[in-house]
Order: sequence, then structure tokens, then C-alpha cells
Amino acid sequence: MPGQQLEQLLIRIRDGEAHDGALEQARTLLRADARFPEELRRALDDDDEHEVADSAAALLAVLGADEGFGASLADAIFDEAGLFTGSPGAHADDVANDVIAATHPNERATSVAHAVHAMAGDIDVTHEVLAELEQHMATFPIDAAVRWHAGSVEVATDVLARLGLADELAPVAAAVTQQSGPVDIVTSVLSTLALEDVQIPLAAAIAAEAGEVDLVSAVMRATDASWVSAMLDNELDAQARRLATQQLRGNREALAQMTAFADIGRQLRSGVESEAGDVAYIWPAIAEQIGIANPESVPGWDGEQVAAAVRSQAGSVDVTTAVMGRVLSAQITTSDDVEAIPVPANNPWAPALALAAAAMFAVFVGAPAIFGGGASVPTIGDTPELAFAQSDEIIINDLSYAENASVQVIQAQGENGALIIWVDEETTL
Amino acid sequence: MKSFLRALFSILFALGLMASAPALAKAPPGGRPPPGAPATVSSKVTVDVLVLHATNGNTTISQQIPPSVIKQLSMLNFTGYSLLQNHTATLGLKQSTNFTVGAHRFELQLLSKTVQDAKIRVQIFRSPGNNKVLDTTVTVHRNKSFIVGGPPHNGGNLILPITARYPAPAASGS
Repeated sequence: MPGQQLEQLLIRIRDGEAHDGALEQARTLLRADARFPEELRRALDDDDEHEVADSAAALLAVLGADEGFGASLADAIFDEAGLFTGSPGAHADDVANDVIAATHPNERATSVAHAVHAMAGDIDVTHEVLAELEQHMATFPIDAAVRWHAGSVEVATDVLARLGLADELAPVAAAVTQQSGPVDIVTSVLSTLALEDVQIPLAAAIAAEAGEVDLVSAVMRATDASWVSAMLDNELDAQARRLATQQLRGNREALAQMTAFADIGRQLRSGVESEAGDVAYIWPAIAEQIGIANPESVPGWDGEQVAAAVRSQAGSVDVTTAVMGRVLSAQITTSDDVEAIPVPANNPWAPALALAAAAMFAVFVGAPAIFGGGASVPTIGDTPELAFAQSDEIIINDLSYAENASVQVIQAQGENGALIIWVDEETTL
Repeated sequence: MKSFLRALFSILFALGLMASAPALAKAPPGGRPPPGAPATVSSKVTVDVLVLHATNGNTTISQQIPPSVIKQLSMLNFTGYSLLQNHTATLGLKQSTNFTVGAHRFELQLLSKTVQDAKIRVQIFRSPGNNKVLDTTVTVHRNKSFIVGGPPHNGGNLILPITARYPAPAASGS
């Protein structure tokens, strides 16, 4: 703007900083500037530099751009110039505004806006303000406010949908469920809200609502008598067994079933006993079970041990008597039931026969006794078979022989080889 | 007739008594208890001894010899066996029996006895001089046998299978 440019040139001229072109330019702008009276428009025409600087200062003062009494000087000038018309008050205000508007255009606009607003009254800027706020309301708790004031789910949904807050639906649903009350409403609400994946302790809710449920009876009725068998075989855990016991108290059918199972067990055991058979056949299995490596060789054999092992396998089978009877049969025992030699009665030949027998005894026994020989009659014929002692049935306690003799202790070949003590005589003592 | 027979038996009986008096006086050890004695647990053992003659001079094997014996002697490589004697004696504790075969005398003594086995001492003496050739003590299981052999006899050797028999319980007298 020319006015501002003139001011700037005047300031330079006043401060002695203007170049030649600046003075001439200032002179040109001044001559055309209507803000100055005609007489002042040639103030810069002087050639003297100092005079020009002083004139520039004065012009600035007229413009009010200096630190001096610009407004007062302006008043004074205008008073002298006789430019004012109208009432002194109104005329002063209009001039003031004009001057202010001319000299301070920006301030003039702000002031005008303020003045206008102050005069215009209330202006509805809520919509605009809210629109602006929506752009920056990342955490604006509209949903919380909606929930607080919603009153009903439908309103909450509609409001949230209109606000584009569908992602915030889950908290709303949680709030709904918290307020909903009965369990069945929870389900329908959740399905409406498509929140099937929401983890809600439904089972606990059912249990809380359902109360004590007699599941044991229902389950057991549904699974027939298998639970009875399991109970008999001690296959139920503690809790199940306790419940089963309670059920048994009034369940005659189950009790009968248990009795039948127990009878089966007894029948099985008696069947095993009857089939156990000879002790000899089960001895190898028993021996192995009781830790005897070789059933055929039992050091320190104890019949009671065998009987106890057999009983443990076969139940109440009395083998002791039978087995021990076999063991003891070979022992030498006293016998009180020896047959009495029958005495012939009323036989007239009895005395004669007795004498004859005595005579024969005397002949065959007495004669050898007189003439020497063995204490027994050598019998040739009817020699019985011999059973030779095995290695574990014979012990040589002592052995000595002549100096010139030699002795070999030999075991004959074969499965049941006999012990042979063979002496080879060379010379005798 | 009857009176004659009775008289004959009486004479024979008298002769028999006279002849057997020493034998009866020296009753066989371990003999049957006198009649009337109560039945007791037997503490005696009957020792059976077969006296065999083994030779390589023939191939005859006596039929009287139990096959089980011949089988046991097969390793001795004799070709012929004959049975010379079968000596049997019932011995009480510490009692002995003896017999002679040719130049050798055999003595067997029962040293001890248990339910399961018997301890028997076997001694062999040779004549002349009655020199002891062998002295051995053997504990053998009841009713089982062992063999002592080797003494030379008639071009061969004597073999003695010895058995310790446990007798049946003694019967009570009538």
C-alpha cells in the first residue's frame, strides 16, 4: 500500500538511511497522498539533507507513526485545517474510527467481529463444535454416556450404531447381561447380539438355578448292573462308591445282583478246588511261585510249606494228610495192629507137626552153628533186584587199606551208576 | 501106627535139640525177639551181601545174578560172573557179621542207623595171617546198595554188592 510505503520511506529519511532514489520516491508519494494537506505535500522538496530529515519526522508525526503525540497532533492539525463537520462528539467518533481503520486495518477487523458478535447475540455453534470434537474424540466416552442414559438395549444399540460404535457392542452386551436377570434372557440376548463366543459361566448358572440333581440314580439306572459289579470288585473311586452305597440301601435289585456275583466267586473257587487234582501235578507251579528253583530238589523240604502253598492256590484243600501220609509211609513206625498168627485149634496133628518143624530147624540151623560159617543160610536163587545208591545217597565216612594195596572209588557208568570201592591187592601185611 | 509116628518124632526132636543147642545158645544176632515180647521200633538193619566171582576165563553169566548188578559191573570189563554166596544178616547197633570166601574173610558191622540211612563198616581180611586189606565205613541210604570188590579169587576177583535193608516192623508173639 502506498501509505505504508511512504511511512517506511519517511522513517529512512528521518534516520538518514535513505538512498537517493528513496527521497525522490518519497517526494512522489507525498505529493499524491491525500492524508496530508496541500501545503505539506512539498515538505520534502528542500535540498538540505537535514531539513529533509526534519520534514520526514514531522510528516511521520502527522501520520501518528512516531512516538510522539501523533493522535494529539492529528487532532491539532485537523482542528486547524477545519475539516470537521457535524456535532463535535459524533464527528469525533467517526473520525476516530476512520482514522483507526485507516491506520490499523487488522485491529479494525477484529474489533468489528467482536463488536458484531457482541451485538449479534447467541449464535448456535454447537453442531460445528461437536463435529469438530468428533474428529478428535478417540476416547470420548459417548458409549458410556449412552449406556448410562440408554434405558433399554434397543436404544443403546441404535445409538451406538448411529454413532458408528459397533465395536463397542461387547461392553454393552456385558452391561445388558449384568442387568438382564434370568439366565434364559442371557441366552437370547447373547444370540441376538451374536456373542456366542462370550465366556459366560452358564453351567454354573444352571447349577445355581437347578439345585441338587440326583444324577447318580439317573446314571446308574441308565448303565444297568455294571456298576454293581464294579463296586463288588472295588473298582469305584471313593466318591462313586459312597454314592453307590447310598443307592444300594434301598435297591433290592442291586443287592440281589451283588449276591449273585458273590456266589459266582464261590462257585469258581470250588471249581478250581475240584479241578486242582493231584498235588504232584501242581507242585512245579507252586514251587516256582514260592521261589524254589528246582522243584525236584527241595533242600529242607517242609510238607507244611507245600500244604500252605497248595491251599493258597486251591482254596481249602486238605492235602496235608494225603501228602504227609505218603512221606511218612516209608518210616519205621511202631505197629500195634500186627496180625496174630492163627493158632490151629482141635488139630490132633498140631503137636506132631510142631515137633517136626523143630527138628528140621535143628538140622538146618544147628548144624551150621556147630561147624561154623555165616550166621545165615546162604540162599542161591530168588535174589531180588538191587537199587544202588546215587551220589547223594551214599557217603564214604572212612577208608583205609594195606600199604601194598590200592583203592579206587568208582561210580559206575549210566544214569543210576553205583558206587564201587575197588581194592587192588599187591601184597599183604 | 500113630503111636509109632509119635515116638519117631520125639526121637528126632531130642536129637535136634541136642544138635542145635549151641546154635540156639548163640542165637543169631538180631534174631526175632522171643515170643511174647511186645512189638518195638526196629533198630536193626538187615545187611544183604551178594558174593560174586568175576572172571575173564569164561563168558557165563549166572542167571541168579540180578541184571541190575551185571549192568553196574559192565565197566569192569569182566566176561563171566557167577554167584558164590548170598549172605544175609540182621544187625543191631554195633553188631557185626562175617563170612569167608576162599582166602578172604569179610566182616560187616552196623555202626549206626537213622530213619534215612545206615552206617556200615566193611573190613576185608586175607589169610594166611588174617591181614587187613581194606577197612571202610560207608553211610548208605536205606534199602540201597553199594559195591566192594577186588580181592582176587580163583583167577578172577570177588565182587560184593552190599545192601542195607530196613526190615518191616517186628510182629508180636502169638
